[in-house]
Amino acid sequence: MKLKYNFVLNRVAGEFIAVATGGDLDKFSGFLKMNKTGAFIFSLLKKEITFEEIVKKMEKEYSGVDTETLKKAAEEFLDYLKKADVI
Amino acid sequence: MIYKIANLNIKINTLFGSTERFLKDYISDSFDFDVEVTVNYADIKAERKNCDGDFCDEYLETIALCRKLANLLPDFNGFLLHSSVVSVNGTGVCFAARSGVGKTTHTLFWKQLLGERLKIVNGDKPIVRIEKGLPIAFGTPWCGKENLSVNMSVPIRHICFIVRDKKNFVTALDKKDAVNRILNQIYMPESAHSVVKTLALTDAFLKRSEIWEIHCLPDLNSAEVAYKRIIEGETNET
Repeated sequence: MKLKYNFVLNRVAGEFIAVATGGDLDKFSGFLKMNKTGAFIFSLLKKEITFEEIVKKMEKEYSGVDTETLKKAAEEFLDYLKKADVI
Repeated sequence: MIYKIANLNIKINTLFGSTERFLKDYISDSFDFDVEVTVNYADIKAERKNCDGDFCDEYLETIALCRKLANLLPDFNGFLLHSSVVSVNGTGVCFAARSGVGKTTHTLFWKQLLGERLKIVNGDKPIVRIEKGLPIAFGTPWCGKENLSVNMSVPIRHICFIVRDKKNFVTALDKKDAVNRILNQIYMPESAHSVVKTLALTDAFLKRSEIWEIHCLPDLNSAEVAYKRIIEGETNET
């Protein structure tokens, strides 16, 4: 899976906000709000990546957290992105 | 011709004399300029594609100019904000709402209530620049069909979202809850680096402002209720 559009990320009022840029702003004109973990996964999705690869990268980033919790967090966030139709 | 808009000296090259007249209140006395903007027929053609309705080239030039300027603003710590901004004795209050909700109507009730104590800086598209961390709103020539604008600036202290309701009351909003709503009112520039900058400027804008939701009927009492809570409430605290 991969993001359908080009996005940039920055923090506003403590939240990570993703905005489509250039010509992609016409295709996706909303804003995606996410927390720090979401922003980490979101950045990985700039390149083609599988669910298993995402979880592996999360295991490295969040070494103290068990795999099941990370999988659940990834599933929930990917679901949010699917609903927004950006992956 | 060089114009001074939002404290920036801008050399603007227009196609039509009507656009020069549109900008007449913003002529600069400077010979130097910070940035140059040129509108050409391709820009007008692009605006025609974006617009619903049959607009003349002269009008579309003013829109194209606004867009070109808005794309440059992040480089000068600024952005275009779709809202109305008033100055109440030097305190800036911004009213934002989705189109058609009644921000102009509510703004005019504040004017009716406060008379000379209130100046409408801009009724539709002020520019906000973050100067030493403070959001400053500037009047612009782009001020909506009611033509409400003064070439002046004011530091913004309050951001108010207008919501139509069955009674008049005001609630304080958490900044996190205001993020999406304020981003909907801010022009997002075309280049990626300018979008990143605009988000950082939005963060500074929210950080230095108090955020409110004004629930209102279209009546004078709505302005009285809002003024008491937002402005007089502040006076009582200090």
